[in-house]
Amino acid sequence: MKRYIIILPFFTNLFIFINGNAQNQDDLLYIREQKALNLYSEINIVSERYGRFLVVRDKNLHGENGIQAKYLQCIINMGQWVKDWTHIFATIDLKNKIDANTMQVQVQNILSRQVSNAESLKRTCGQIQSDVNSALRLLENSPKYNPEILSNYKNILAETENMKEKLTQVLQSFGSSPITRIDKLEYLITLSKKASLAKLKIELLNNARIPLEKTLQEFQNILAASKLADSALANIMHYENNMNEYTLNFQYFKAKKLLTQVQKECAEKKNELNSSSISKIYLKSAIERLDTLCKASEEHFTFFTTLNSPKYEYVFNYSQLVNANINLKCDLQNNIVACNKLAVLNSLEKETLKNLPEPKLEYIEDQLDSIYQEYKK
Amino acid sequence: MRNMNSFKIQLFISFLLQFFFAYSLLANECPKDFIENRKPAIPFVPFPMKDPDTGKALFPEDRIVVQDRAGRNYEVKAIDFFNDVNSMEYSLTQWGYSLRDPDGKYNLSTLDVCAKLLDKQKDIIEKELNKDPFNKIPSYDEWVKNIETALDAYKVAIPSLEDLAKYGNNIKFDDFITTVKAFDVPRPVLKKAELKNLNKEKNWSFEKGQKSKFYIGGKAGYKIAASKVEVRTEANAGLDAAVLGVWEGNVANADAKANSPATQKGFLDVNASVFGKTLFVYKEELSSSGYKDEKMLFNTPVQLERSVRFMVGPIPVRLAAGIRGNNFMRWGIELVPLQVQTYLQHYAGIDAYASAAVDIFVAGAGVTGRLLLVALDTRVTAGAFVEFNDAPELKLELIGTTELNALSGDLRIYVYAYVPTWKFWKAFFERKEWSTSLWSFAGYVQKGNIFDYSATLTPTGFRAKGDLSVSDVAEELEIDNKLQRENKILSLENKTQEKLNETFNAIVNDLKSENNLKLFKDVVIYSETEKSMDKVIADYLNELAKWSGPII
Repeated sequence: MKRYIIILPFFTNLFIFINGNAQNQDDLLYIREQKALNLYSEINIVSERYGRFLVVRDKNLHGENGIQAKYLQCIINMGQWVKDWTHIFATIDLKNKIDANTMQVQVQNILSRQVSNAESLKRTCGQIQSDVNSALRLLENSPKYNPEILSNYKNILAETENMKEKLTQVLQSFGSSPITRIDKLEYLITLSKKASLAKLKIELLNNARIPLEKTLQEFQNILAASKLADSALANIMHYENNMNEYTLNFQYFKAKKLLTQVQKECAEKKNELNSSSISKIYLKSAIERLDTLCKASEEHFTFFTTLNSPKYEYVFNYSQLVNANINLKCDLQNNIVACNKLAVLNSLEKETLKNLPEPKLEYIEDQLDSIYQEYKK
Repeated sequence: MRNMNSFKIQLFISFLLQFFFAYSLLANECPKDFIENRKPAIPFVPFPMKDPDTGKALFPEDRIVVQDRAGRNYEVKAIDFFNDVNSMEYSLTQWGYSLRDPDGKYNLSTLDVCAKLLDKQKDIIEKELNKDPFNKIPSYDEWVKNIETALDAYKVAIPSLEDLAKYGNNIKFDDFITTVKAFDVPRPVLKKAELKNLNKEKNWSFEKGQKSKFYIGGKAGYKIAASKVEVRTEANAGLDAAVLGVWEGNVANADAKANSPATQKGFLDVNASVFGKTLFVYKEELSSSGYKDEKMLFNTPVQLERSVRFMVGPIPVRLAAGIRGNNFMRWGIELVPLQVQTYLQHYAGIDAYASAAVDIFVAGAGVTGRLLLVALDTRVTAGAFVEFNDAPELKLELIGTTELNALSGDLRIYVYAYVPTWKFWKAFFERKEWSTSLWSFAGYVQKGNIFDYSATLTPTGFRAKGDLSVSDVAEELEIDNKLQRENKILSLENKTQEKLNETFNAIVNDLKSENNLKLFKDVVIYSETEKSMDKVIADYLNELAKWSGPII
């Protein structure tokens, strides 16, 4: 009769295999398990690769505000802009006219509009390349699969790689063409001006009543004034619009950055206009307009200086504004990138924002802006 | 006659000692049951048969009147009286003591409580109970944190989303990101996975002491099972005791079963017994969809006594030993379809006691001290629930706490010699006592969690938390595995093949789809658009050439 002490705190699981074949069987099972797991892992990689391809193709390229749409719109607008130049030639018509003043005003207006539209084209068409770059990055970050494990499917995989290549080519074309073309816009403007001067000369020669030299000189002054002022004015008008929007949205950092730029460009341009040799008659309205726009931009910014809140408050407000005004469905495959971004941005509590340094706050505002631009209602 | 008596006594003593010795030798760690305070034997000088007051010699058949401690009178033959006195003196002298020793209390032996064994048991109990439920943070995390701080400092000038992610509130991030899909091929909607059953059983028990002396053992256990269609719990608690090798058995026991299915009637089945006799039975099928009750399963005094012959050193005594105290068990339950919440509380406060008597007139015996066998307050609560969110979820919770006090106190049997009536004898004997200590130990006190376990099972995973034993953790890792590893691997292979087919089918379908063909069209669109734009510009340049001459 053996007496022993039994202590049983919990039941423990003990599996003891007493089986001679266990070792071999275990090896086979292990091999099978590893094979299946490796294959499973490769399938996941292939899925992600193709998934990225799908998002870039169906959203970035073919989506509603995608690269293809932007490209087509850019080219259409550019085409229209080119065709619009013909108005100038239609305006420069002095048959049966006694003076050239009305014509000159009209020409000035057309010029200024064309220059302004050119600036706008530079912005919108130029944006396409940066969209293409983002899309290509998304494709590039695809994980790599092991072709040996999936050798049975190499034909299909080869086809997917072909399509990926094609997608890349299409993206690159859509991105590079607008860039090349907007580089030529200035050239077209110069040519147009030259040609219009030439036409004027011919018109004047055919109209004895309007003084030739004087009118030509005036026209040249108009052209010169346009060259000096129009693009700057167009840009600063654009800045003023932006500044207004930024202050309404509490986009402090963008506004601040823009303010610096506005102040610099305004100062430079004012100086240039004031010290120009061109007669002030042609520049007067430009100078006034510049002044108004510059002042307005700076005034918009005083909203922030008056409020004098800590910077993180602005970022927080902007983030709430963005969240309330976007149409972003995160259960859709196509919105993966923006949703991941938003998940990070929205997980930052107000208390955390308080302690972040300004460069990070600026970055947050910038990322929110990119989401807002893409998905705003 | 005297010699025969003393011989008998010697035999008896040696028999008992041998028995104890043999018996206890088999307990590996406790070779001796008695620690003997035995001194070298001294010569035996019997008391002459004389009247102590007058010095007159007595004849064996003379009658003498003696009075005991309680004041009662007895008439005995002188020969019997002196035989008793002298056998007592003989026994004592063999141990080096004598009735002629100076006044005082002499401890002849101590029932060896086997300190080693008790210490070991104490260690085990301490390990079982959870004193500190929170884990200490390992230093590896501190180290990682330092690295991260340095990296962050570096990255201040270069913000990025990865950098910002560190500052985020993880819960908010998790909540949001679960709604976001990952890059993937289009897949058909998944069938809902089958939800397995979730079972858990926790048991706790303790055993203290030795059955040949004093012993107390207790247990509490809980078993809960949850599946999509019902939840079940079984609770049990009990107390066993043993006293001086003469009685061993169950003091109290109860078990309660409850069952709550989704759509049928539930049932309750409760049994409780004390000393093996059933005190409480309750079986009921529950008709309503909800049930809530609390029952006192038993609330009884505990009383049990047995007699045994015992040796105080060399002196035989009759010992009555037993246990007495209070014991109650209370059980409560709340039940609605697919949810069960129950608790079980077992309270016991039981003392061990003894009383002693001797066969010979010239001695008396008694017992002093108190031994708390057990004071126990164990509470166990358990709940099982089935919840339906997007998918069914089973949840189990088991929490147990106890306060245990066991085997503390000391108990001593003493024997004293007295001779009433003759003043000389009375004064001579009465102030001596010889005793044996039955128990002297500070006892055990433990307070803490006996188990603390909660788990959730969903079609996609299993999580357990609380104080998980090694087996719980192993179980968590293998919850989806049954014992057949091969079956598991086969199902993995099937799953893999299925996913493989699904993926490549989706890819092939997409390659043939309209969306993909657009890429081919894009190439055409591009070249056409470029051509037409080139034409617009060429036309315009021609127009310009009209005025300003050919453009170089």
